[in-house]
Amino acid sequence: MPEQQSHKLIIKDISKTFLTKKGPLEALSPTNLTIEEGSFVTILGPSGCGKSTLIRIIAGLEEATAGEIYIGVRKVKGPGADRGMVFQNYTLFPWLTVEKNISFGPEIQGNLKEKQEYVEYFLEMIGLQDFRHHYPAQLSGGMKQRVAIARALVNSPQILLMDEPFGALDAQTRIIMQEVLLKVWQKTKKTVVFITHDVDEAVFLGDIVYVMSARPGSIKAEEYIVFPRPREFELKMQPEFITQSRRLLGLIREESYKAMK
Amino acid sequence: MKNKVIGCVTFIGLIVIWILATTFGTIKPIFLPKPMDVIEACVKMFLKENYIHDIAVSVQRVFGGFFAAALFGIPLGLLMSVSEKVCAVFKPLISFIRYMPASAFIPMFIIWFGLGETEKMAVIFYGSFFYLTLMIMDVAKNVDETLIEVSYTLGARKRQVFLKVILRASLPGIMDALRTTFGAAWTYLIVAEIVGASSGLGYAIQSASRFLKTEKMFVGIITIGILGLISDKLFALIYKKSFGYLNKGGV
Ligand SMILES: Nc1ncnc2c1ncn2[C@@H]1O[C@H](COP(=O)(O)OP(=O)(O)OP(=O)(O)O)[C@@H](O)[C@H]1O
Ligand SMILES: [Mg+2]
Repeated sequence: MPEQQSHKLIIKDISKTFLTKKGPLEALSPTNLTIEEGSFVTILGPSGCGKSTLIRIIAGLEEATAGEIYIGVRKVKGPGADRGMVFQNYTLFPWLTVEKNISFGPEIQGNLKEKQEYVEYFLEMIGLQDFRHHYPAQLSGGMKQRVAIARALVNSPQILLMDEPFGALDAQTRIIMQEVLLKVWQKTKKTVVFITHDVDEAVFLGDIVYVMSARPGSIKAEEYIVFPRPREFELKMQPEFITQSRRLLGLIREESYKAMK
Repeated sequence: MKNKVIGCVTFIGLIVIWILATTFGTIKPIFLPKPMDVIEACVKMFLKENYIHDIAVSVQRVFGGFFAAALFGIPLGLLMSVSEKVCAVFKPLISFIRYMPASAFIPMFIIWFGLGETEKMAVIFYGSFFYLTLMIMDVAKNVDETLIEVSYTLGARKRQVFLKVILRASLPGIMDALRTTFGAAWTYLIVAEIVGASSGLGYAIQSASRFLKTEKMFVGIITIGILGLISDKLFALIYKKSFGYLNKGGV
């Protein structure tokens, strides 16, 4: 039964209403999405439209008001190591070295012995072997996020969830990180759900870009990005890339204005 | 380094003013003793009056009372931070009790525990326990929420999150809380020793005051200052050695 082994991510009628002191706040209206195993999906949306809410529901960190999340045929309940997450703000454990941060998952799951080689593999992939004994306070923002990516991937998750992971980085570092991420993804072929408000970033990274509407958020449009891989920085200069980015920018601007009202 | 020099200069300046004021001024020694007299009294107290015993007794009491407060306060504070039920049980009680001054309880403690060591330590315990517990609770509650969330997404269970993340992330804050309350513990010690004690630094100051021996009172006060300073420096040193990872410079 091939269907049963698939790790397709299915978002089924997910909606979320926060109960705040000022009354209910509808963050997400019922949202449906199917994300194929191994694909790189980016989600664009205006500020406050519910992007973080959606990804946090997928991660199991937030409970949906209605709807379900499936990975293959398995229903998701609560957070777990099968869905790695990288946050926008730096979330390395300050008391652990780079190496220990990466091996945190295997360590608490008691399979560090088997995973040790894997830790090395990722240390090398993110180019931080020389920094293995450094503490997070001694790293730059880009380095920290590379460690956070490696830390999530060492667990061999089925899905990597990323909520504006490069949002706090400067433009140059951001471009380098995009290339690093694509390289890592090409090697691991994990499903990636990547949230951003940077249109160029969404087009450069994704197989598909989903655009969300203003709050209450829902999927408003989808665009297939067919540029061949591996993609390099030069792609961003090509007219086809610019055309596609512009069109998406138009869509998102519309929603951003709605959100301002 | 430069700041340390400035600190020393301030100290020396203070002593010079003291010397000048007592040598050339018209202040009576009963209000402000001469530095030389204080040193003399100090030597005499050490050599003839077994002053070291008073110091030892006081240090013991502070440590005893404070250790007990930490022993119960740290776990309780941590539990209150993670369990709403535990918090609901203890928080109102603690918030109420901590406004009742330890000094007001001394007569009660004397009735309950007598005049021995237990009573002294009880005063110190009472004075530091409630504040410490609330401070520890705040420290643990303020652990970065995303650190906790990221641990769950890395496969940690509740117990592991508590032990490996919340507790671990709280250590620097716990150390800070201990340092602050330890300073307060000295105050309660002296309060306890001024009322109904027959040894210790507070007792030494109190009995010197009865005979208007100002220079002896100064010795006692300065001793407490020095002991407090030493313990504070010790805390700072432990902090620096244990939590070096928090600096950019590394460990
Ligand atoms: N825990 C919460 N309680 C109440 N309201 C919340 C909560 N979390 C989010 N919201 C609200 O839900 C809406 C969507 O928030 P969300 O963080 O998902 O937006 P976002 O698209 O990620 O925005 P940004 O681009 O600024 O990160 C916002 O209006 C926000 O204020
Ligand atoms: Mg967000």
